[in-house]
Amino acid sequence: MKRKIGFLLVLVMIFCAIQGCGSNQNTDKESKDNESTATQDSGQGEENTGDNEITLRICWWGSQTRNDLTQQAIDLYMEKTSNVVIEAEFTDWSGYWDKLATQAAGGELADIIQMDYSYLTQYASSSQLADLNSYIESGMIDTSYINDSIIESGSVDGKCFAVSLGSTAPMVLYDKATVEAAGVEIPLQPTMEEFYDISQTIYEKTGVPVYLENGITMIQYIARARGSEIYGELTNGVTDSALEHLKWVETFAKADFSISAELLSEKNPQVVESMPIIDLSTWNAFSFSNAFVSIYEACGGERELGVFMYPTLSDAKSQPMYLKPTMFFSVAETSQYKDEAAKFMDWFVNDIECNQILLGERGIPANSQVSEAVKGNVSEIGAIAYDFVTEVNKVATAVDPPNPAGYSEVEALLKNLAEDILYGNLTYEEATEQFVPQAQTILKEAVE
Amino acid sequence: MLNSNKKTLMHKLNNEKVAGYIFILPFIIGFVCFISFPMLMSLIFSFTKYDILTSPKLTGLDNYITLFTKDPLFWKTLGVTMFYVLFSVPLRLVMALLVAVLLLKATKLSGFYRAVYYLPSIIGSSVAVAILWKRMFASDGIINALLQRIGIHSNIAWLGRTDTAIWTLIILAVWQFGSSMLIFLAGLKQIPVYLYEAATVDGANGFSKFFKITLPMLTPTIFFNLINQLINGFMAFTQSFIITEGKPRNSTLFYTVYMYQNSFKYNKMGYGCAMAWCMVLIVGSLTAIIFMSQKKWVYYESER
Amino acid sequence: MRSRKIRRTTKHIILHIFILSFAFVMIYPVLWMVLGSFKSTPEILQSAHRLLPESFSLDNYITGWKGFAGFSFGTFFKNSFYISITATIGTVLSSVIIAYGFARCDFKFKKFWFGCMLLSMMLPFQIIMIPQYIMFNKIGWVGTYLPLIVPYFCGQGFFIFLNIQFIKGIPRELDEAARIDGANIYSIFIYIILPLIKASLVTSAIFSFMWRWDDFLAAMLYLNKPGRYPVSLALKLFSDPTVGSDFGAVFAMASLSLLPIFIIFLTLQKYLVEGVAVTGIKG
Repeated sequence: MKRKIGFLLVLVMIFCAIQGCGSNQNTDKESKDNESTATQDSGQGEENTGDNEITLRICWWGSQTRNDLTQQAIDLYMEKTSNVVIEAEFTDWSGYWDKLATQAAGGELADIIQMDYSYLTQYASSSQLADLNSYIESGMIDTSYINDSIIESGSVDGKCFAVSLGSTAPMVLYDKATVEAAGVEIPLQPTMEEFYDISQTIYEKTGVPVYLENGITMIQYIARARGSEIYGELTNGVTDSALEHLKWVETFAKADFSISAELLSEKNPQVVESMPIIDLSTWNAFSFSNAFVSIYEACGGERELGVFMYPTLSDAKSQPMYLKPTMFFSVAETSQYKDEAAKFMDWFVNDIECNQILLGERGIPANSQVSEAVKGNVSEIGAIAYDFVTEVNKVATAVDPPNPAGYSEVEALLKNLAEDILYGNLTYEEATEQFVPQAQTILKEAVE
Repeated sequence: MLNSNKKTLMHKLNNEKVAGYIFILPFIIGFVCFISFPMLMSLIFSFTKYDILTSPKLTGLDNYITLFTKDPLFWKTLGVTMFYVLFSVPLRLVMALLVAVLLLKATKLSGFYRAVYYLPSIIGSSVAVAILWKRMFASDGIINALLQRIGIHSNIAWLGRTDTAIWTLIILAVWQFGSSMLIFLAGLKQIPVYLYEAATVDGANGFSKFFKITLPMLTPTIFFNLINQLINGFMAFTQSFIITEGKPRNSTLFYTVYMYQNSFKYNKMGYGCAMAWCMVLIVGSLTAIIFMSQKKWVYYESER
Repeated sequence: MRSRKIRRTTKHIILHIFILSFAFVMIYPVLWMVLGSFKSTPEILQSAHRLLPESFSLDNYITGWKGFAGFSFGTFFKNSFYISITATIGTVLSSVIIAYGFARCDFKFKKFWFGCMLLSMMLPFQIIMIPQYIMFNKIGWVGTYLPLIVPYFCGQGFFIFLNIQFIKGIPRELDEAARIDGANIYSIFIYIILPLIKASLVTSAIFSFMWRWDDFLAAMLYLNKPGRYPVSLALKLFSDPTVGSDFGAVFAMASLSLLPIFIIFLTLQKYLVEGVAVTGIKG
């Protein structure tokens, strides 16, 4: 017993010594680097040896597919450029923003950051992102084959802070078998009234209910159909679009051909794996074109899925459909190698070989030449999404500016109130009365 | 000369008052270095408006005032969490104690059973359990299927109804009683065998042995489990976060999840910190009350 | 005579059936996950009510093991073991030492420090997360394993508290008897107390290992290179809900990650099973 404890105590002391408890950080780090270098495939040497060699850190969120593909693309870039070493950091979506915020607070952001539309304003206006205008003007980031509106979509107050990696468009999916069995034909862009009638017919003929998207995407869309912009309205306390949207939410909620509120709650349509279309709890799904392949596969990979645009208003003042960036790359303001970061981004977005690896996993490539080149190699299923985006491109109007600060709280508020309508606890007028003033306060306080 | 100095040093070190500090020294170091600074910072943040990406701005008691007077979700989530704690903690403790007593014997089978009952605690916060739980309680899930077998026609969407959703989470918590069970097992093993032997000699049966020996000797362990489960219950996060995300209609929104949303989703870190300190006060008070009640029901062999 | 025996055996059998079926209910979700790892992903989602797969396939294990970005789960498992074992050793040793101080010694401000210990148990991690990160960043620990291991060498509230309760259960007569024999506070700790709270030490080790094994939050914040990720974090990345995930692979790797804990639990069980015959008083 004595010996055992003595032995353990000695072990502890050895471990403590190894950890160094604060002294000799660098040798610690280096020895661990060597440990992991042995297992890494990318053949990195030690950091910062050699005159010109620089190390860039890049971070993104995604599934293991994206991680693999992106790593391959990065390896290709490192082969082609002799003096740049890129260290990749990646996590999943939910952990990403926690980590990013923490890193930003500590001044430790990676050089190249994958950025999302809903966080762009926040990060840009708090000076965490570098202004890319100079790189675009000088051509270091080549935008000759990239639509201006795409560059605009990554801009806040006229300054471009992010380069889009792919485009996506709002898309409604439907189960072809069910719709055919009901004997209806759905136009590429129905009106809300048509959508209502079609849903009723389908339910009468096949018993499969429908659901209407009731969250921020839809209210934004309805505002666009009315020629307006939702956040502008909310900031100024205007209720028109909110009223219209929530009226439709209530109309569909009361219809007997809609999925019940409890079932919809259970089958969370926001998450690919649990969408109600998967087990035909509804015949439709509101989503975006870049999720098409995932949803298709989640449905078993055998059911045929058709697509149409989000339904518009019969008295629409403008075409609400738009192309939205799926995600961007930005450069951190604290980066010491902005030039090199910009060069990498330019290559990532414009190089055909790179994108043949990525194969539009992040959405339809922003560069039109690249998009054409890649399309040929995309799967049959992926091609459906591609074609849809081409159709949308013909009619789309410019996307709304990036979401303002306070956006997530407004989104959560809307979700809660929509839920209240679905469960029959509020009328749409009452919901609007609660929504607009509260949203206005949230948006105001977020920028103070 | 040297000898007497050595003796006084040893004497000093042997003194409870000094030795005590030496023993808890690691804690003091850790607390001062790793905990006190972040704690203080979070306290300061709670008096500011801090969106993480820019510097914090002092706003005094604003956060706390908003919390108590203008935020219905504060009260709602507090209520949800208390409801959760009220039911899951006693149920867990009772199950854990019963099973621990049942599986006390050192047979091969009981070892295996113990491992089986402990397994749920391990996979509790995994994604797999989240998916499974959603499937099990789905309207076309196993629970309903089983109920139908017994003749109750049920296609209730357990997760979709505001009155049942929270119970799926409570059941999940109780299902993971294995960790408490383990602690009870350790505690049971510490009860001296001769007490039971003496009782048998005196003619006691199973029941009275349990109530007159086991329970009283277990009170330190019960006390520990109670405090622990209480704290853990109030800090429950993952289940609500990955299984229900607070739905439907916030009936399963735990206090900590709402706090997380405020801090990281809405970038209202200062507000989130204020929420955290409110929680600390509430849980702290409850803990203090239970601690003060110790004298009435907890028996320590070493403090007879 | 005989009827009593029959009654006892029937009681035994009923008890066993009850325990067995309850055990089945308890373990069903785990079984579901493990068996699901042999199903294909779409099959998992669509046939959630069926335990057994239509056809057993090891595909998920093969795909899953590959991991991502060039790192296999072998690396992740290695990292997890390193982190969990070192942190556990640190936790158990430091916690029991600290517990002894609280349980057996009386000193100035004891109540204050005890309160601090309880307080440390009540703080939600998300709140101290950012200041802690800033702190660790300043001393250069970000990117290393240090933030995941060193703090545990300073004790953890749960384990300190646990050991306090157990130490308080040991009669002071033993201490006094040892003192008469010339022992001081330190040797009482090593030779009297420690051997008697084996059960609590084992329990602490099991819990600590399990918690370190499952913890991904600290790993996510402080580890930047995927090559250093532990299994818990790697699993989380495998199942990103914004993109369709390969649940088959997730289940496979999750099932594998259950094994170490299960094995540790089974092997350490016997230390839990030893009874405590307090002969010290009599002898």
